[in-house]
Amino acid sequence: MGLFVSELLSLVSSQKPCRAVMVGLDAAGKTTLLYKIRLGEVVTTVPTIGFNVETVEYRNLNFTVWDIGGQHKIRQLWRYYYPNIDLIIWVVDSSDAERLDESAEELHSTLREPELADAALLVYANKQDLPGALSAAQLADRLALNTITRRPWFIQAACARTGDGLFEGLDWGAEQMIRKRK
Amino acid sequence: MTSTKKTSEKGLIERIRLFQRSSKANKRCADCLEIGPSYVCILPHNFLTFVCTTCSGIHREFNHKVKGVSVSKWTPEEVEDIENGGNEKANDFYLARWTPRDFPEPEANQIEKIRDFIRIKYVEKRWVRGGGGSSDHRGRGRDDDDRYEREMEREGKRDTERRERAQREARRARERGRERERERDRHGRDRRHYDSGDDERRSDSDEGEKRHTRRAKDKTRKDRRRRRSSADDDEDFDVLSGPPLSTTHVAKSGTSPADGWGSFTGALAPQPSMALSPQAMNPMATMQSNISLPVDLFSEPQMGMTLSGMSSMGSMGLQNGMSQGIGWQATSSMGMRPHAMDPFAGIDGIKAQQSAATLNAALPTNQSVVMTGMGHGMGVAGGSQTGMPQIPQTPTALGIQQAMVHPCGTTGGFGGSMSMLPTSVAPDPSNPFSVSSPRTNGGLYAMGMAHFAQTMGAGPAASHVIGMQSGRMGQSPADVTPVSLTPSSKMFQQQQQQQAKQGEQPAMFHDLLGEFNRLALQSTSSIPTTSQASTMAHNDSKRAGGNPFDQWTC
Repeated sequence: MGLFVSELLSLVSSQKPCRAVMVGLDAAGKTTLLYKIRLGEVVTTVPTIGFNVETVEYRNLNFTVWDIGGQHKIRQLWRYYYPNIDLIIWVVDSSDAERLDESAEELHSTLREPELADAALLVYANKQDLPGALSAAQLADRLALNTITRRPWFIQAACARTGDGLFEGLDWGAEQMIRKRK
Repeated sequence: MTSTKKTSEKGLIERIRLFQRSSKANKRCADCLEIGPSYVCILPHNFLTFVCTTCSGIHREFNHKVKGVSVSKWTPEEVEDIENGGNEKANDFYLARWTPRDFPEPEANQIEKIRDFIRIKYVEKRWVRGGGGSSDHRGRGRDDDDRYEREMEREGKRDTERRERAQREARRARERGRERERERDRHGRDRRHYDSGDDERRSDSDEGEKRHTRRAKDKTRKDRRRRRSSADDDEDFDVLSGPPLSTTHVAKSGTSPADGWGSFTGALAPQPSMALSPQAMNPMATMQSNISLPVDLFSEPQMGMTLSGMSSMGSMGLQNGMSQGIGWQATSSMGMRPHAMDPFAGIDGIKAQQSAATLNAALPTNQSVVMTGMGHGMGVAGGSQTGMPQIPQTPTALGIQQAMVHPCGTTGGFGGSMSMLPTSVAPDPSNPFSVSSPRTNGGLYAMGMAHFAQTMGAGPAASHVIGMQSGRMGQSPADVTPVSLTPSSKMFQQQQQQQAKQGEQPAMFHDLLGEFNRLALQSTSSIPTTSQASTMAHNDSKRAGGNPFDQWTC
């Protein structure tokens, strides 16, 4: 009986978590970003082999964020995290102009995955604090974001070390999730 | 075509490994004492050093580019560069004027020290050839640096990139001027300190060994101090409480298991005489009186009691069954916390108790801050090899084997997503950085997402073991979701222990990752992250089991 009531309550009060996958090239700052959002502090990271996962509650929504290692040969593992993903968080190192093309290529090949057809795309233009960082508008151009027409997308300038822009991006993500559930 | 490409890719990695094996310096991390580095710091262009996982993470903080030897795609040019670089060359340059006395090489776990070392070594360039450290010789140092870099460079394109980066670095270095000054001051003070006091520091040769012995000595000294202090506590206890409490008597003479348990429960009940003494209010005091308390496990005056406490505890665990034994431990360590100066003493103590009691209880891992890396990597690998039958559909159930079976697919072209729809990229007035796009197709979404807890194969916190643990730790984040694998099996307990040994994981995925780690540890005895990854990359079953650094003597 008690179980039933609690189940009923949980149906009403808590929402299903929104599953987000955070991908991008290696050293884009995904893990730092994840833990900045989650803990509010800059942790010392090592290159992620495998994944990190954290739940983040924001605006009454539970985000389950999977942060997956982005080194070249482990990118082929991303696809196993794709089922039932609501939000793709793409992190790009704005100061690494050299590898922007690679990032764009990976992004678009990710977006072609059929399992991600319904997922919204949030791009964090990370490392805005570094000299020579491209602006979000420049990055939108370089990443050819304007060719994406089948899903909502959003690019947010951010700095994971200071925390600038992280929650603005999540704001947009939450808005999308709320809209999707209606 | 693909196969030739594969072999050549493989060949490149082989070349890097061959080069790494060719020099003794490359078998050790360039920036700490770790052996078997698996990353290469490839940018700035004159580094080209082999570094360990920890140092690679810290290099990334300085915006140095690192690549994992086995998880990256290499170009022949890069490999050639590496073959012309290496730890020996880089350290010849960057540590030309360095002696261990300046800054002893950090251990792999001293993250702060590694960060300082890397900053002084590469950013401030304090020890470079020709002297770049002091501001007087700054210019000369730079010249030298440039000459060195010119030696290293190969193509014009890279040249400009490098110069840009160098300029950026120079700018940052200038910004850090003040900080550097402060650092130098501090450092100078340190040095003076060493000179005046510590002769052991002076011997430069085999300083590693020396350091170890030193540390051991320090530890013994500290231990002794702690023991003394705990003994003092004991005296205080006697003095303050006047006539010893009855519970103390029971404990000190308590050799039978029944006595031990009885006194324990008795001590928890409020007693008027205990309430009078401030010490008696302290759970520590309670414990001292009863059981083999971690802190005084090794204190001389109580050795007899400790032994008896342990034995009583052991038989108690057997008598009352495992779950009660665990519960008891949890309670005890919880009570101990406020008093114990050293939390690890508690853990040690529990370990000792465990061994005495032959209990397989879970050890506490009490940090929610996470280090990623090996554990996770192993997690993926382990999960892959055995599969996770209880958890269908989770991304975590995937793995390397599967990855090998399914070729990496980037299929098709850009055609599908191309469209000429005008999408304006206009700055959002509220945020100068953000660019908003028209939200298209907002209603297209299906609601087919799996509930997270379901996917994870979880339910309510399945066991009292977990409950106890988090209660004891008291540090797990508030929103620890009750995700746990059924901990009924012995394997669960083993993995918990391994988990505790391996280091801390996110509390939330503590259980799942623990399971993965266990599986990974089963499949491979040591921790060959790189070899796992190369297995993944090359489907080379021969390499799966072995640590590539096994055969090396460093």
